[in-house]
Amino acid sequence: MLKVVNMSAGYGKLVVVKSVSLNVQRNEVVALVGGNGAGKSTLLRSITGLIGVSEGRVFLGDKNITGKPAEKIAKMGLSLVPEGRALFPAMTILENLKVGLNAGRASRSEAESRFDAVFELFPDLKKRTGSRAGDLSGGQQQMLALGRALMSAPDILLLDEPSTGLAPVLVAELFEKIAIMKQTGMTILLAEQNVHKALDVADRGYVIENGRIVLEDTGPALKSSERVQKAYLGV
Amino acid sequence: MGQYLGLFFANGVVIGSIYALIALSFNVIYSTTGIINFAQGEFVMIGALTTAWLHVAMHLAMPLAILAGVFTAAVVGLACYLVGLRPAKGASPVTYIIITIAISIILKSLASFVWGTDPYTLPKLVQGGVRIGAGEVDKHSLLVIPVAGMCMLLLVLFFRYTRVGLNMRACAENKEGARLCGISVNNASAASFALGAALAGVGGVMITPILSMQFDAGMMMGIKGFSGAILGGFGNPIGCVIGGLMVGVIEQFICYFSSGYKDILALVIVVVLLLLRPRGILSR
Repeated sequence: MLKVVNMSAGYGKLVVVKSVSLNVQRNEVVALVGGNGAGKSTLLRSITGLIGVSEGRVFLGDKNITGKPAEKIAKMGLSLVPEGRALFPAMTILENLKVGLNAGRASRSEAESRFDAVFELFPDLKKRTGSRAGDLSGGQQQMLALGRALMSAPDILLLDEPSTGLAPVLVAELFEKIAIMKQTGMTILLAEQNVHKALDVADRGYVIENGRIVLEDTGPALKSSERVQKAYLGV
Repeated sequence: MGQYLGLFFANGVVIGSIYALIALSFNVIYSTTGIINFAQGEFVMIGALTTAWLHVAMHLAMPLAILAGVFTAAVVGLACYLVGLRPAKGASPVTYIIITIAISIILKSLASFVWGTDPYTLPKLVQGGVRIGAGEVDKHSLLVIPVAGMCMLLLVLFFRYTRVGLNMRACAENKEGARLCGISVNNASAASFALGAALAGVGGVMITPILSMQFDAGMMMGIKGFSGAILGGFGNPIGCVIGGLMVGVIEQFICYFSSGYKDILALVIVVVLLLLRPRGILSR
C-alpha cells in the first residue's frame, strides 16, 4: 500500500530523515516510534508532500508520489492528521468535516454514509455539529481531526503524534478509537512517542533514531526488545 | 447643522455601503492569500467603466452591461493574480505590495488608453428623491443600500454553503490543513482574486451614477475601501462593513464644513481612530 524507498528529507540543507525505507501493507497498522526529534514528523510530512524529498522514492500502491504536492497526494488516497491537528478553528465541526470531503470525491449518498460513520465513531462530534472547532477541548479537536481525515475515505491514514497534549484518559480513548479503525480494516501508519500504546495497537513497528530506522519487527517483538525497553519503556 | 444631520447620515450610509463592499473585496483577497492588493481600486474603475462604456457608447441594455462589467472586473482580477502574483509565490509581503502597485499603474494606463480620460456616468435606475430633514436624497442613492446589503448576504451564503466558499475559508484559516484536505491553495487564491475583483466591480457600478467614474478615480475608491478594512480590522468581514460605513459617514459630515477637504480629513480621522485602536475598532 505505502512503500518508502531510501528516502532522505529535511529542511533546506539540514537532512533530518536519512535513507529511510519502510512499507505498510493493506489493512495493517504500523507504528513509527522514536523520541522527540528523531524524525518521525519530518518523515510523515515528506511522505505527504508537505516538505520536499531530497533522495529516494515514495509509492502509494503502484503510483510514484515522490515530490507531488500535498493536495494531489491527499486526493490520491493518503490522508495525514498532522501534529497540531491543522483544523479550521473558526469553522464549525460540520464545516470542517465537509472540507474533509474534498480529498475523496463522494456522491451525496456516499457523503452521508461517511458522515454517519464518523459520527458513529465519534458521537461527541454529532452532539456539537454547530460548535466552532476552536471552542472544542483538546480531545474533541483530535477526534475532529481524525474525523475530517476519515471523510475522504483514505486508502491509508497517517497519524502524527495524535496523543500529544492529551490527558491520560483521553489518550486511552484515542487508542480505543484507533483499535476500532483497525478492526474495520483501515490501513494506518502511526507515529507516536507513546511507545507502549503504539506498539500495543500496531501489527508491526519501526524504531527511528536520529533520522534512521534502527529496528523493525512486529509490535509484540519490539515491545520485548531490550533496546526498546531500555530507551522507551523505562524498563 | 441639525436640520441636515439626517441628510448627511443618509448620504454617508449610501457612500459607506459602497466603501464597505470595497473593504470586503480587500478582505476576501487578504484572508485567502495574505496579500493586500493595492490594485483593488482599479477593479472598481474597470467594473464601472466597462459597464458605462457598454451601456452609454455601445447601447447595451443596462442589466447586461452591469453583468459584463462585473464579469470583466473578475476576469481582470483573475488575470492579475495568474500573471502578476502567482509567479512570485513565496515572495515577501513587501514584494507583493510593490507588484500590486505596479499592476495598479498598468491598469490605470490601459484604462486611459481604452476609455480615454473623460469621466463616464450611468443613468440612475430610479428617478426622484426622498426628503430627509432639510434636504433630499435621490431614490437611486438609497437603492444602493439594499443592493450592497444583498451583495453582502450573497457573500455570506457563498462562504457558508458553497464548496468553493468553504475551501477559501479553509485556506484563510490554515493553508497546511487545507492542502491536507486536497484543496489547491493556488486555485483558492485565484478564486479569491476573481471574487474580490467582482465585488469591487459591483461597488464601481453602484457609485458611477452618483459620482461618475474616470480612469484615475479607482485609486481614491481603493484607498477609502482600504481605510474601511483597516478601520474595521483586516480579516474581520463584519469589521470591514462597519469600517466602510464609518468612513462614508465621516466623509459626508466633513462635507458640511468643506467638500474640498473631505478626502483628506476623512483619512486623518481614520488615522486618529487607528492610533487609538491599532488593530481595528472591533479588536479586543
